[in-house]
Amino acid sequence: MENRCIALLLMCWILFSCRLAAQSEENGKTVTLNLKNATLSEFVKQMESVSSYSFVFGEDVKLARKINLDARDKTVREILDKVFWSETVTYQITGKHILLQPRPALKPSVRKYTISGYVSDSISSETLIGANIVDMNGRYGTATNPFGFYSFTVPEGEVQLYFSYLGYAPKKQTVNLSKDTVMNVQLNADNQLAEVVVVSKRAESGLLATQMGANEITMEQVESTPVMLGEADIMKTIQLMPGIQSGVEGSAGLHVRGGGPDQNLILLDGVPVYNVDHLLGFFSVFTPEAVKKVTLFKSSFPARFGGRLSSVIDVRINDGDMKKYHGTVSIGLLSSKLHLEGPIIKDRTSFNISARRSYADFLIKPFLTDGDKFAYYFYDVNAKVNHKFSDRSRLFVNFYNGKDKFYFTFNDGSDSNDDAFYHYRDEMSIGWGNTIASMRWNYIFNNKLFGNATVSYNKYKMFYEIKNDDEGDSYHTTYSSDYRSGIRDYGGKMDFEYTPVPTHHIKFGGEYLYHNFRPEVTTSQIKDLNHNGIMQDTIYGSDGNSQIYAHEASAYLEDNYDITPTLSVNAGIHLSMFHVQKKNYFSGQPRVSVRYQMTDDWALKSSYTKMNQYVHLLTSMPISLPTDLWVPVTGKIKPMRAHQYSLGVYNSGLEGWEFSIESYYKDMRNVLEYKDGVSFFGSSQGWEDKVEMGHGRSMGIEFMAQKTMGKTKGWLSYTLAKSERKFAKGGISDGEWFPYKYDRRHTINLSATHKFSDRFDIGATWTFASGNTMTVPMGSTAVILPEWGNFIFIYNSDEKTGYVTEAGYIAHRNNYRLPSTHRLNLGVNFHKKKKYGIRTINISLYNAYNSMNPNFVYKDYDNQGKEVLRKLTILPCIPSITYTYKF
Amino acid sequence: MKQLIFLFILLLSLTSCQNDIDLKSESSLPSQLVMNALINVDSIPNYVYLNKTNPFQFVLDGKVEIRVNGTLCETVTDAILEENTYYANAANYHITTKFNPGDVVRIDAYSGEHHAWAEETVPFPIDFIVDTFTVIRKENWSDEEYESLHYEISFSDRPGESNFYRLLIRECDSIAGIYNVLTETDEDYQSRYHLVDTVIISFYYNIINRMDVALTDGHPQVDNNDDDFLSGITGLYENKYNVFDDSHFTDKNYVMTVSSERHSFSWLAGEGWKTVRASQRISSVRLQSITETEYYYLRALSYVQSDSYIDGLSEPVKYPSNVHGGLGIVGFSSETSKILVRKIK
Repeated sequence: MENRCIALLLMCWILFSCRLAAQSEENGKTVTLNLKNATLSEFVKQMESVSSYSFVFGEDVKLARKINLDARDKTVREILDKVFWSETVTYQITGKHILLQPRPALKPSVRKYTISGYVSDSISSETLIGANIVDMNGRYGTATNPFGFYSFTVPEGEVQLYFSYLGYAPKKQTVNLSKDTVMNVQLNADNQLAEVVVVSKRAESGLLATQMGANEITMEQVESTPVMLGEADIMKTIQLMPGIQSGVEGSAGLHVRGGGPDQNLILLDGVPVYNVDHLLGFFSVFTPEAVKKVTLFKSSFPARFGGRLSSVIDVRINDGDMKKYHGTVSIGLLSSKLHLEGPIIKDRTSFNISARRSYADFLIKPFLTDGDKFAYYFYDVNAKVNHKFSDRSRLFVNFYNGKDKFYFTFNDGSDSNDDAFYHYRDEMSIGWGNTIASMRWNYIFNNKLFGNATVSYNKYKMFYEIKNDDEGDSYHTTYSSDYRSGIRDYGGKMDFEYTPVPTHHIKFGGEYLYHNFRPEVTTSQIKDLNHNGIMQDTIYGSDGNSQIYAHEASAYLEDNYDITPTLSVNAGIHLSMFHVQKKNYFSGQPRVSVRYQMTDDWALKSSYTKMNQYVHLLTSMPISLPTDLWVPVTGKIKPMRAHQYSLGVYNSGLEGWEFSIESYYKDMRNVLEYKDGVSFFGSSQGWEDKVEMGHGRSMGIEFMAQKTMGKTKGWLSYTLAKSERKFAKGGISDGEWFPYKYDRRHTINLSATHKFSDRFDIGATWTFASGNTMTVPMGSTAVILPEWGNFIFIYNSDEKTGYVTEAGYIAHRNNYRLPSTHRLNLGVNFHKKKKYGIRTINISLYNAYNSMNPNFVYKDYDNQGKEVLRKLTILPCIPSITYTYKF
Repeated sequence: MKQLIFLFILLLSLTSCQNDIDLKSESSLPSQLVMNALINVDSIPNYVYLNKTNPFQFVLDGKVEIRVNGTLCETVTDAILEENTYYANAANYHITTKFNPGDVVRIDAYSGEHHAWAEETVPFPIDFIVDTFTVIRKENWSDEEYESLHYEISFSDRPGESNFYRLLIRECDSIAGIYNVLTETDEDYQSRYHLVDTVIISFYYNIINRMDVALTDGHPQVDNNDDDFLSGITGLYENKYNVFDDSHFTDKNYVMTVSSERHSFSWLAGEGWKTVRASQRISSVRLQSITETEYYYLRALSYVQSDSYIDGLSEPVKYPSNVHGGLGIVGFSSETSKILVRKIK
């Protein structure tokens, strides 16, 4: 009896305890726990000390990896979810006990169903590109495509899905699967959490992706990277990635793995952009506020991309908030920006518009005399409308327009009182820019098949107009000249994604582009008048007015195949055809990537890609000029092609860190260099005869350590690289290998941000690069000057039949290696919550310790007459301040 | 374009700094033999210039061997050092071998340990017809009239091959008579003049080639007085040596248009003449077929000597060379020529 009473009391106590515990759980009691590389026992011990729970588990419960945890004010369940989601361990809370058990093996199932849908931001409904979805049972995973769509097929029954995305709170969804299911998921932006991003193998970048040499550039990274004049710039963030060179110091140019500036396929929502530069290449055209995500591919290119040798930069623009209006106003020293987005029809149609304009022209105005003008400005406008017909059907309309313009007008003349009347007026204006319009339609044919149709229009235009007007008492001469060049592309493409089974992810499609190259059109008019009337009135035109039409068609097929849980292959082929001037070029470009998971932490990747390029950029200056001309291949000049072989090792053993070592060898054929002594400088006429086709090779090894979680984020990279060119015997450098202009042996990039609090964060970048090469005359040689040229002034003297004089000697092209460069950029952000939004003040210091890096270098003589290289540093330490208000 | 770049640099230069980098010592470079020659098969003698680099010097102890179609024709060891001229820093070797179109000519040069050689095929000349007419124009500023002589030169491209040409036009005014010549200045700085029976020959003209398609490489421009016009507007540089290829008229006839400008030359035509026995303007028009290397060499030279070539921004030019074992260029040309004589007032 006594024992029964004791048992009854004990049961009551247990029940009471359970109720209390349950109440505590229900009341959301939170705990704080911080662990680094902890074992299961250490985790249990800590949990038991900060909570009232005790753990029960057997020896068969084991963790695959150590526990790293930074949880503040989290419920016990949240902590357990976070620790065990990726382990083959389940937990069950029973009273004050937490029971841990090995996850039961799945019962074999015959039927499989497909889950598909969109993953989007819970507040704005903005679709999330590259969000990861992982099936907790089967450990299969996928990632959303560039439209935020995902699809994968799993066995019937209860399925636990884990949705995660950087900067968002992960979400777990359980669904009892008995038929094909559409599941649209919305994630909450949550920067408070230490992000737990479960990366699937389906992502195209990152350690778990089958592809290699790909980096995702988030807008958080772009906006936190301190840059010149506070102008956050996508290209300058990309330059901090391993294997990327900027070209001229401070410019936004990209030389990827020894490639040229024209070897980058830069896509704005899938449409190629020809000119991506403002202000002679020192800023890029992409306004970060308008951009959702950027992905850089430099090695194993997905088969859907083609047309450039060295890189693909896929820039995706925000779709626009479907639920409410908000925006950003930003005022900087160089330009100001306005960004607005919101619903047109709530949850159906949204818009996104952003505009940027520089205002140096307004600032200089007060300093000019009446009638004179002198100005430079650039602007960008990005607009997008997104309409959701249904969960299956969406339409996007994009528009981009950007322009640089420089102009001046000067007047001079006699005073009205002067006897001799004359008036002189000189006008000049030069402008260049892109206009891009595209319309895309997404349609989910069924849960396994996603389609996207795109039509696009792309125009690049450059003009250069001058006008002189001289007027005197007895004459009046006017001269005007109009120079234009440009490209127009009309394109259409279809892309499909098909996921028949979880182990296959197939993409296929085709594209057609109609190019209209108009390299140069010049029209000039001269008119002479005197008292007797017109002496001359003539219009001249160049013979370069002919347009070049080209047809480019391509088709692709690729499959990402998980052969075993540890081995996956991405194999594809890109077929292309280019028709120009009655000549057809065909190309089959295989792409293969293999990934092997050696251990839980270590993975090995290897890839081979072939790329072809049908257009060339004619430029003879190290900076980006509006007169740089895009020209297509011709009957004489063959397409460039590159074979790239890569091998990489990756480690993710340390939570929150990613380590990678990638090596590559790139063999390029038919690369172009100008023949000795030939300069184009704005002229494409007869360009085929002025260039040589040759051989290029680049090789290197890239080390990268990236911290992706916590208050301090960033990366450190080191690149050891070599890039060379070789032309035919008797041609450039007489058939010997010589270094490429931007061949730099060592490059170190450090980018770090630290968030002290919601109100204050800092960012810093430091770059070091060993010197690039340039052609410098070293010593002297003799050159023979022929008989006199066109202008002769000899009095009572015989003509000379030629003579020899001393001139600089150049042993071979790019014969001189410049000194190393290094630069530290710093940025501080002060945030403050205001009534209608958040105000941010950014203070940036470009080149903080005023490193005298050369922007331009030329040979000269010092005061003692000694030959020196004179370096011009135009970007010393430059402080700036930017005010931003987000509402 | 050039203005734009200059303005851009000027704006940024407000905050820019200049620093010097020491160049590596020249002594690390090996000494090389430099052989230069622009040989015209229609004139004898021709000259081969020899120099050495590091240190830069002329070569007086050299030897030049000429082989035509594999046969040694001439050996020259006597160097002539040009003196009393501004450019007297070369030693030249006179060669007298007569070359014919189609000959394969090899020139070997020796000096001490050095041996350099070049081999070229002598190009074939083409015939042409020249037509001229005169236009009277006025200077914008002075209203002064001047003569502009227009040349229309018709010729046919040699078919079935890539050809390279050079146009040379020379004009000279020759005036004979009694002229009041300044002979001395006395102690009081008073000029003394004496009437002298003399012939004054003047080469003072400017050949304008910017209206022609081939000479502007497809970018004809207006007939404007501004010398910097080409480089200023399009960045194209003046084709100073009037070289062109046949890419604009391959295997076809072509009519080339150039003009000459004679600048006012008042002192020559002024009151200094007591009597004038004869006065004439002689135009010499020569159309040369040149080798490909010479074509690219002269283009490079034109570019370096033009306003479009900007130190620091333009890539330094490595001159095309066809000399093996050394540096320099050996070019061959063959030509046809016409002489036009007109009386002038």
